[in-house]
Amino acid sequence: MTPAQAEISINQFLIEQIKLKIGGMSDVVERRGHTIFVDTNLMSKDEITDMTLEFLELLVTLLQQDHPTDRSSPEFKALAQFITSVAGQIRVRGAHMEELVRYIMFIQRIFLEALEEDKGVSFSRARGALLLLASIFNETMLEVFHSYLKENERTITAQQEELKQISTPITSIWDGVLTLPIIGTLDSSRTMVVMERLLTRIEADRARAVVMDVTGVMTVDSQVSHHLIQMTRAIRLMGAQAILTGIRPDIARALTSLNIDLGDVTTRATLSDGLKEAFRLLNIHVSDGVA
Amino acid sequence: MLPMHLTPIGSGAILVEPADALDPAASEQYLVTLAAAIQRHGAHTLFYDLRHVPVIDEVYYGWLMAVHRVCSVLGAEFVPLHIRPAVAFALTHQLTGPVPFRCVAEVEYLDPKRP
Repeated sequence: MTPAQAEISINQFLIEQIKLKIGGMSDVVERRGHTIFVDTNLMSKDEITDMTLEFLELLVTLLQQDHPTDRSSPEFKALAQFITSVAGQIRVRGAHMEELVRYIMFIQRIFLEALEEDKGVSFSRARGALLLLASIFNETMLEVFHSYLKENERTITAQQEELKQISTPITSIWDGVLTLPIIGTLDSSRTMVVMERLLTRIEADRARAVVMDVTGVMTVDSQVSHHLIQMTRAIRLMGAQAILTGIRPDIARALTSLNIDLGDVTTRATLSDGLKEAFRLLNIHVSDGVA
Repeated sequence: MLPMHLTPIGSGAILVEPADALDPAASEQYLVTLAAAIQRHGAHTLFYDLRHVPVIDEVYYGWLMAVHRVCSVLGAEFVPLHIRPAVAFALTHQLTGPVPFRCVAEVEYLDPKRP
């Protein structure tokens, strides 16, 4: 018998075993299914049984192929798709990757227990079946892992995008006046994002004054100050006036010791002073309403 | 023929709209014509429309600086107009000092009282 024939034979053997013992396996799932997940509310007994039967069905379809461990086969992809979908379902219910791995291991265990009951199976056949099963289940576990990694990457990307939006809260405080509070560190990549959004906003809003408040910037080194100067120049090129506010005493001292010349930048002590300066530049008179 | 349109606007201002055919590397020949136009109209402001200029590289920036210097010599102010966000962003990487001229988004935004 060639290795390929032997594999087909093992595949057939496993298919027969599943078909013969599907009832018994379902009973085990019914009895012990609820013990799989740490959080018992994650899935109902019925859901676990249905999920297991569908899994076994896909496994039988996979075993009907000549090379069931071929990841590129449509049958394997169907099984992977099923696992990904289950992962998504239990993830939204608050489960972790560990729960799904525990579930896969549970199916593998009841499968092996079912095989053990059959005393007439030869050693070489049992060994072949075990190797094949281990290989398929390992691939399935990898699929679980990939699915979670992908989902985590998606979450991280979404969070990064959200953070970008939050980190550049450009507000039109008056017609032609924009404010931009800068909080945290101003590195090169963040400067690019802030500048891109700010310049686009200046053009869209036809802004003529931009008040940049750096009260929330904790440290200033030569790179940060270079970025600040670069931003004020870009604002000026767009035809607007940049006003820098909120330079704390320690930051002012740091700028002095770094020999940074902010001579061409309009600075004011507070955001309020910066707004007053912006209004003055635009000839806007704000009164308290008292006649 | 000059590869740019010169339009007198208001009193004492000229609007320059460069055509695609403008070769900033061959700027010398255009500067005389520009200077003549400034003197002829008694212009105190020269608005230079950059709306359709997609990139300001080193050569183009050199051309703008040359126009700026000619204006200064003739007592006129050189004011670039309509710089696009991407162009402004890229230009900041070329600037080694403060922006040497006033820029505006619209002609009417120029405040004559402010330096």
